[in-house]
Amino acid sequence: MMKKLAAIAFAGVMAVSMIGCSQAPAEPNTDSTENGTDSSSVAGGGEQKEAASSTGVTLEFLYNLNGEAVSDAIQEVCRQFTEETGIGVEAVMPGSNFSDIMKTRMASNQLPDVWTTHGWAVARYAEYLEPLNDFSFASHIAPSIEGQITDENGVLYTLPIDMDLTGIIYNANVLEEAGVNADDIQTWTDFEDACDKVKAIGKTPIQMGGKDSYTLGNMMDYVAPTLITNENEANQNALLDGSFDWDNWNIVVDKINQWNQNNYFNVDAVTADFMTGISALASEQAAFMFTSASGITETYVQNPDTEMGFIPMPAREDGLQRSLMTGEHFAVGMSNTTKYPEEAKMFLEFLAREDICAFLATKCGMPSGLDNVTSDTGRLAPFYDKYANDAAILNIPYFDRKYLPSGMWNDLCITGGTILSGQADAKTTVVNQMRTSYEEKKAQE
Amino acid sequence: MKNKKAFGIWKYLLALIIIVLHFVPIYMVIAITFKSPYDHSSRWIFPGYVYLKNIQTALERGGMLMALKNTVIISAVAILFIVVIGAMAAYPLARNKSRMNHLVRGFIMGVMMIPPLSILVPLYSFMAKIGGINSYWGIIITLVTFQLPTSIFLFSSFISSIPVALEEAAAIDGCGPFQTFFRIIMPQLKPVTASVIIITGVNCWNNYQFALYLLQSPKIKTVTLAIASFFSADASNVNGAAAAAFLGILPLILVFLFLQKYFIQGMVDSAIK
Repeated sequence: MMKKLAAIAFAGVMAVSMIGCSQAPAEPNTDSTENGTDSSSVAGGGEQKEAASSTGVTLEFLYNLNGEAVSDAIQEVCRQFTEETGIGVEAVMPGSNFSDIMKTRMASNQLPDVWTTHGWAVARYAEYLEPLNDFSFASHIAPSIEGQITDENGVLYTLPIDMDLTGIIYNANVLEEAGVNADDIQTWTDFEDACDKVKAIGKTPIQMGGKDSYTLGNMMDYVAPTLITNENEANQNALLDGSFDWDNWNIVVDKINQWNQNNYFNVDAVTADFMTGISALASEQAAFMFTSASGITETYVQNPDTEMGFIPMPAREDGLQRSLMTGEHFAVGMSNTTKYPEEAKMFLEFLAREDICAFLATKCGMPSGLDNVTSDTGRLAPFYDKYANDAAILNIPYFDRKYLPSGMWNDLCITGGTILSGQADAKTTVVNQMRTSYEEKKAQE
Repeated sequence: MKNKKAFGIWKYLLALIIIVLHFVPIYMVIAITFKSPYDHSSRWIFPGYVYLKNIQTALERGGMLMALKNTVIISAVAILFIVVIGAMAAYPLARNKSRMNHLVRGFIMGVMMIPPLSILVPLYSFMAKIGGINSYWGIIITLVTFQLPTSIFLFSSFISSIPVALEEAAAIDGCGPFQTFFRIIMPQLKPVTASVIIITGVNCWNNYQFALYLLQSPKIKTVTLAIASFFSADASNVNGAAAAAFLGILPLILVFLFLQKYFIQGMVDSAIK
């Protein structure tokens, strides 16, 4: 036995010595959180208050936000709620399968008491969520997100602790090296010029992580509205009423296909994963990535010394407006069949309390979804300040959530992969798949 | 002669390729486990230093100790039931070759063909109704149900090869069916029991899909769930996940290293029979 172990160890050492070893990197300063915001604990958390006696009730709270700072903040807030009210909260983050778990629990009608609605409060969860119009925070919903979390009758379904303001993230150092000024990117033609310059210095213009197929879906979701629906009411209405002519989708396919032909994407665009993309940005090997601002936060975790930023989605052509997508990020709804409605209401009111909401939104590094709460967005603040109230920039909803029937997200992911894989008949395949799926799902509505 | 020699070389080359293929994932796990998250070198490159914070993260944030305890309890109890019920169910099926038993055996084998995820929604609803969510017994019943067909199949094939004369002799000496089973048949089943424990035990230890849905409380999460908790759609801690995976596979590797003689013997005996 010992001989075998020694042989295995020896083989391992030999293998390692042939490959070589990496040197220990310098540890970044951990005094601040990953997005550069203040890491102080929840307001009021330091005060020594007498803990309320246990009520024996424990709420189940399912959330989908990972990242150590955010996760710790959520757990801390739940602990404080329990201390103040005596109501237990079991906060669970089940990993990347959150959406699948929720679908199963919806199908079996066994929903958690409270959960994060991750962009689907109206389109997917509305029939399972308690309307929140009577809550004290209902009059403080930020105008830019209100439309995304209320239905056509004005029913509010979720508490937006913060909100997503999504554009294209970029590494400022890479753009500077390539001689690109991010503010000059107004149209897709400007974007393509920038990509050519980045390619010329030997770096990847657009980083894609197709192994995590949602990154492909993101790309389609970001590009499509700028070419199809922005400032085009006819297409908006056609998509909503089911009369959309899917030959118009060719313009999206052509655009991405052209980028692919021009080698703007990383060579392993279809097989690399999301985190490889983040590493590429962190190590200043790639310029752009189609992901939300939380991608910037992740990049700073890996390399706090780099400089990141985001730009609005460029316009189709000169004279049209650039756009930013607005939607839910950390938004919490409560079940309309919960066994503990009073306790769940208390929990939501607690989360909406100014100090708690500001603490959580700050940890996420996002602007708050309530207009009476100000969050510290750290290194992203200049970008939110610049874009949030710029009338020249369109605030648009996520394309699939607004214009496509529920269930078509997968089609966006799959067809994105089809284009990038360079399949010969990609154009026809993509348009046909989108058309067929759209017609099938519209018929079921 | 020359051909034989050439085949010998190819045989070793093939074995080497298989060893490398199996070793690569383990190498990656070890390399990433002991690598700093701020080390941007290729994942193929082994760290020239030892970084233990990932292990600390896996233990503290991932709750790996609790996950290991839960996994050991769930796997051990499930394996016990799979072996005992499997052997007891296989005995009459192997010995009494009636038409009815043929049908029962076919039905059990049929269960093996059902993709477990295809019945997830009714299974989840049923478990929720009987209070089996977030409980040891809920996941154990589910695992036993889906592993039993494999166990029954292996045991019944093995029992068929044991001479009936043994039981006839036991009957003459006054053994009833239960005594015959426990005193005469069970001791003969050692080799196949080792195979059943390995095959179903690894399945129980590695189970993710049922655990994901049936065990949502952090207090009862298993090793696979602890590893998965390091990933989400927009943020992942690959180093923490690798460290958790390293801790998760360590007990299995140690058990196999120390007991491999018995396991391999069991597999060989099972094959010869």
